[in-house]
Amino acid sequence: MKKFLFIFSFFFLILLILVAIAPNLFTAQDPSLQNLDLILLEANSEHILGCDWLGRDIWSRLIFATRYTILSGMLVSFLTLLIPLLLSGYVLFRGDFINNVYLQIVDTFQIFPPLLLAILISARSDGGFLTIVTALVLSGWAANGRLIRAYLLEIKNRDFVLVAYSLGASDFRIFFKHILPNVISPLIILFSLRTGMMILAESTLNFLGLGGGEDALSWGAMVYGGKQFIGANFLVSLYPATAIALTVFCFQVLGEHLETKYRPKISGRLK
Amino acid sequence: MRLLYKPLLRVLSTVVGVVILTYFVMASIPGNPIFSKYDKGISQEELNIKLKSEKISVFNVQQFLSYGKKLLLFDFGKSKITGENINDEIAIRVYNTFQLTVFAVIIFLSLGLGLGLLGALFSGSFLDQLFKLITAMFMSTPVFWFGLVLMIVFSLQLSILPASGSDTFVHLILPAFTIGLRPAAFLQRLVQSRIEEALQSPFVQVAMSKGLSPNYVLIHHALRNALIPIVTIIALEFSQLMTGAVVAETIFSYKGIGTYILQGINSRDYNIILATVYVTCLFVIFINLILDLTYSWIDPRLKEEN
Repeated sequence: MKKFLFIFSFFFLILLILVAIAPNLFTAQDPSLQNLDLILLEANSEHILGCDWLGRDIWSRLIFATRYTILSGMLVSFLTLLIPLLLSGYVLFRGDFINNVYLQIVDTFQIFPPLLLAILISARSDGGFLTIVTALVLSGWAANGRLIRAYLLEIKNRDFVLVAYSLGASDFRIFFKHILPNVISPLIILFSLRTGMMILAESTLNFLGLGGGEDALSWGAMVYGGKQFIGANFLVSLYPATAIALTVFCFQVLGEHLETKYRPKISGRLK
Repeated sequence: MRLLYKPLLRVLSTVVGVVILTYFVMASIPGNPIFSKYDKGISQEELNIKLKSEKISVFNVQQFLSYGKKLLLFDFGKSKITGENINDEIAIRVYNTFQLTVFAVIIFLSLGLGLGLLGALFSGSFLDQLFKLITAMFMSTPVFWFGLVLMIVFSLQLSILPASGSDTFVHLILPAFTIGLRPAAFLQRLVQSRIEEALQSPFVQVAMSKGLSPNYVLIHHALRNALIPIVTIIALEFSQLMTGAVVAETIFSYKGIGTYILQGINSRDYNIILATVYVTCLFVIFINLILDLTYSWIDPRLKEEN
């Protein structure tokens, strides 16, 4: 069962990435073509999932919105790992005071309910891909702040780092040559788990209408738009909502699989 | 008293941090309240005069200090758009959201703890497998999916529960489940794994071999020892609950703090946004403080270390 889920998720995610790269291969319809004769149309052979409130083909919109979701999820997840990695890598070689300041900043960011700060920031413009990414990175990096510092600290106290020091290696060299290679595998696991969570956060922002409103080409925005017509045809918002759930589920399964299979000794000791 | 000193100091510094952070985010918002107030049919010269008369500027030390003082004294002023007093409105909203969260927490705790215990008891069986699959699915499902599905099933198809409104207890049910279901899945997983771990440990075997009943051992020995990480995750999930509240309130048009935030954002009403964000953060900080204090009550070993 576990193995089946993993294989399914793996191939599903590869398929999603293909869709994100070349959406034209998977649909012949134009995602933004409006046809007022087809408003809230039920599924038929030409429009396999029916049409939305402006008569646009839902299947092609789902396909073309994949790029937005996958790209934003991965980009945000990558940046929310990179920022605390560099920051805590820096404070690692500094005194107690700087370390405490860093931890206090992390705490302050973390006390904000995760989406509240993102909502605040994404309200600063009319939305769009970059606004959403900025908002999610600024509100999400602190969640990894303590964990990544703990990973680094654990490696830094190992004997081989001490040896490198006594051989006269610089802080810079120690960080990139000795510490970083040893934390790469827990970071990859974290990346997979966080990408799913970030896709959830991204779609929630879009669902609240903060990513450019109901016409933005993203799954969350499709749910947001379809919500007003839920009495007439609830499938319009249920399809994209389920697509989000399925994608996040696959990232989650992949992350958990990597975690149980390749859980490195460091993160095991930390727990 | 000595026990209180450290957490209280942390609370204070976090509150100050929150005030600074909200100020900087808000001051950098380009959308202008004047525009929202007078709509778009206004010329640049008129706008400049209005801007001067209403003293709206960015990054200003004096403004920041007076703003910080007002927040600390809970004086949120008036809405820039409608002119109504924010304090009155926010009191109603906070009360509504508080009701909703309490109900959601009851669902979250009873489902999470109950099913977690059940899963640990039937560890390895078919039921266990089923729980694992369902929790994995729930953990990766967006909060609004639950909201939509609950609404479709119970309001549109079965029409037994209202789809919107905030007047009676019945209106609480669907939003509370929307908020509570996803965190409950996280809690179920944690409780089950911790209890399974505790059941393997020597002190449980000793208690069993003394002849205590399995239920007694489960509650008084295994659960008691699993409690610390459980309290930690409850603290973490609380801010998730607040996020969930924003989403659930939007779906079910519930008059709470979440819909108030969005109202403020959509009309670019600085005062409303600041007030709501500040109050929500205070709420989360307060809950964290309480949980901090319960640690030493749950685990007396921590008290001695202090």
